[in-house]
Amino acid sequence: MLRFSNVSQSYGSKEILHDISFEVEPGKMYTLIGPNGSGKTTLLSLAAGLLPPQVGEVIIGDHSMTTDPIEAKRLTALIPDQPNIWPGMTGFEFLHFVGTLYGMTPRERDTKIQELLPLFTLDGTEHEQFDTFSRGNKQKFSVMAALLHSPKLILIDEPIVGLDPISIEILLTRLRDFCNEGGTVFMVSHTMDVSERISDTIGLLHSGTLAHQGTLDELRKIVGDDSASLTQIYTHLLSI
Amino acid sequence: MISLLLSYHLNQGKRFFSEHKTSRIVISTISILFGGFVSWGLFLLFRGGIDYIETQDFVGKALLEYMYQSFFLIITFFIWISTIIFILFRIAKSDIDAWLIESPKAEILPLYWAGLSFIVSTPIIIAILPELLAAHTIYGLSAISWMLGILSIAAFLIAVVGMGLASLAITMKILTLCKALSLRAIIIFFSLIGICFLIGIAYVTVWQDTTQVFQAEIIDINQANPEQVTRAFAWTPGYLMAQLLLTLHTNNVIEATVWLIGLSVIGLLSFAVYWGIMQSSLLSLWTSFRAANRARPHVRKTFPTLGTSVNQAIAEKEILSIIRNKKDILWVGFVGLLWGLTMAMTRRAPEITLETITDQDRFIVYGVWGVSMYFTFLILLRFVFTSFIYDQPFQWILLSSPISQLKLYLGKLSSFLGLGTILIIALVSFASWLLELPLMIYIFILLLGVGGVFFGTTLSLALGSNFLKTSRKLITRDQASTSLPGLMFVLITCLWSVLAVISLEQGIMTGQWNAFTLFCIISFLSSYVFNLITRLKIRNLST
Repeated sequence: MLRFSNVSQSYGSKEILHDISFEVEPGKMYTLIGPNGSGKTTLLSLAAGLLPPQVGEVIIGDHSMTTDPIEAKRLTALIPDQPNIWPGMTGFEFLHFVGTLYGMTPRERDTKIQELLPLFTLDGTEHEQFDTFSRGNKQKFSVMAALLHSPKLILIDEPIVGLDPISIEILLTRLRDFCNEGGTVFMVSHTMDVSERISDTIGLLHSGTLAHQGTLDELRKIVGDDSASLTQIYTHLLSI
Repeated sequence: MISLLLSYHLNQGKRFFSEHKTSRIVISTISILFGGFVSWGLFLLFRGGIDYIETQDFVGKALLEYMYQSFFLIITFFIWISTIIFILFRIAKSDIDAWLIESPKAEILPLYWAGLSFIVSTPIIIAILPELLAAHTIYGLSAISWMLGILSIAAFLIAVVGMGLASLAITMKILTLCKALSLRAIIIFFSLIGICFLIGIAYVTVWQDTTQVFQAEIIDINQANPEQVTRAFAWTPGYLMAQLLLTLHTNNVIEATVWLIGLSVIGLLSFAVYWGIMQSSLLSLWTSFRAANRARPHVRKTFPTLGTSVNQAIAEKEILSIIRNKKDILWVGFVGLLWGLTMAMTRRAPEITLETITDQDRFIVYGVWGVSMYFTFLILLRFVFTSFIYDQPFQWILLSSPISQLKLYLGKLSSFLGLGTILIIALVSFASWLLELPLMIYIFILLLGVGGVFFGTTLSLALGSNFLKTSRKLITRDQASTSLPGLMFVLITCLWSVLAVISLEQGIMTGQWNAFTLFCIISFLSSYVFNLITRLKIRNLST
């Protein structure tokens, strides 16, 4: 569903990503972990089409983000780390706006919004402006916007930041259900316990290269500890 | 604290020149040259104007008095309202002063005063120094007069900013005592005061019988008495400054010093009121504003048709960004009031036709068109030029959606062209109705206005696309308007307006419309080129 082929990316003379190649299968949840500045968000931005790849290719489904970005983006949805939304918009208007960008008809948008609003018990707040929302509520609306057009691939930067514990559980369950229904999730995170709980595959990005990847059990084998937590694996692999 | 902040700003200046040194030196030099160019133009205008007025035996002195008083009345109003809008939203909405306000040692009150006086000083200095220079070439100012003139700029700025701060402090205190303090209440209160103030100005300048103001009281001298004008303006806040500069024309140092002391006393009194009220209540006001902002949800009726097509969704998004921002709406209302006042000050001209148009008639038509164009260009500068900047934090939504950037740009372009055309039609129609301009002239200036909207919109988007890259430091609409591309916009649109009037004038005077046709073709081609530049920048962004 998502494939990075020999992707390299630089900011000025500094190389952020070096020859990254890997694939995320449909129906799977892939989590990328790594230290600050290792290039995780840049990689996510490339997958979302926020940045054009300088070297290599990003493929979504059968569509290249370089040569066929519109069709590639039609399959994806992004939940960013900082859910900045126009402060003068209401939640309802924002969802309609995003739905329009994805070509949904007013009726389709209305039906889907009514279906999604109870997800985080946000009924009643949809007509308030974003400048009065807490960070958590902004995050919930950005999650709803991502689910609105029924994407095939959801890209998430730090999924649970700002959310209360109940909302975290709701989101993780929803993501798991999404994968069970054939959807794909690619997320970057620093939250090890969440990544450990829900990921099918975990990749460790270090200094712009994909140092290791595999299931939790495969990573445990690499460090030689069958009961190691992801935090322990992460610390061990980085210290090598 | 003040020395700490000063050194911070100095270091910030040094850091600015430490990266991209050559280009930034070039940019700064161009900005200084631009300021100098404007000052030089104003100097020529002042020198020519004063020279001409002085040659008018009958109205000379009175007219000069009238011009100075009107100028400082509008300038005072401008600074006063800018001060209130700036500080009100700084206290009510911005979080950037939190660390200063929460500190037990920081003295934020004088910082607000000094900072604002500094911010508004540039345009005032650019305007008043050429006036002093023009007065010097005509009247020969002494060294002491020069010194008093320069001191008067500082005293005037401090006094007017002080009046703005003091009036805001008093209003907030009264509303707190009445348990009615809210951003909306303050905006309504000052809007009412602003309207009353403008009615007062109109009373002095428009509705007053000017034949009486300029009549000769002493027949023997056969000269309009300037004291009539002085009396009419005596209650207005720009009075002291106008009197001071006029007194300097005769090198009357003692009288000028008295006016300067008067200005300083007003400044001190304003500071005392502002300090007295705000020192004890700023923290509680600041806290209560924040509590109110968080506690009261801004429930809105959803925008009527939000998005049945991408273009429509983009248009509605742009409209929402403008109309749901109180500061922007206040700014538009303020500039709109100034436009209305200028229109009201222009006399009615019912008998104008293209065949029998006189010099004075043409001046009125150009004035109406020029002021309406200026107001429209100001709106384009604030909202269209800054629209890419405003969208920067929200680029994740636009860039990740399956819509090409070119389509988003075209949506933006068509939205602003539509809104700009509606605006210029409304302005020109209202002005033509007010001044009873005939249909042919109305259609003529309307078409020229629509051409101006096309030119201004494509230009502002081309200049604004310099801020497309998301990695650039985020800046506000206010900062963007005064950036080099913003100044470029002002310069180019001024040039466009001047060329439009010159070519139109030539057509009307000689019946030869070649120059005007050429101007229209160049204007259209320029819009096309600006459009291509923006497209190119958007294409570069995605490759």
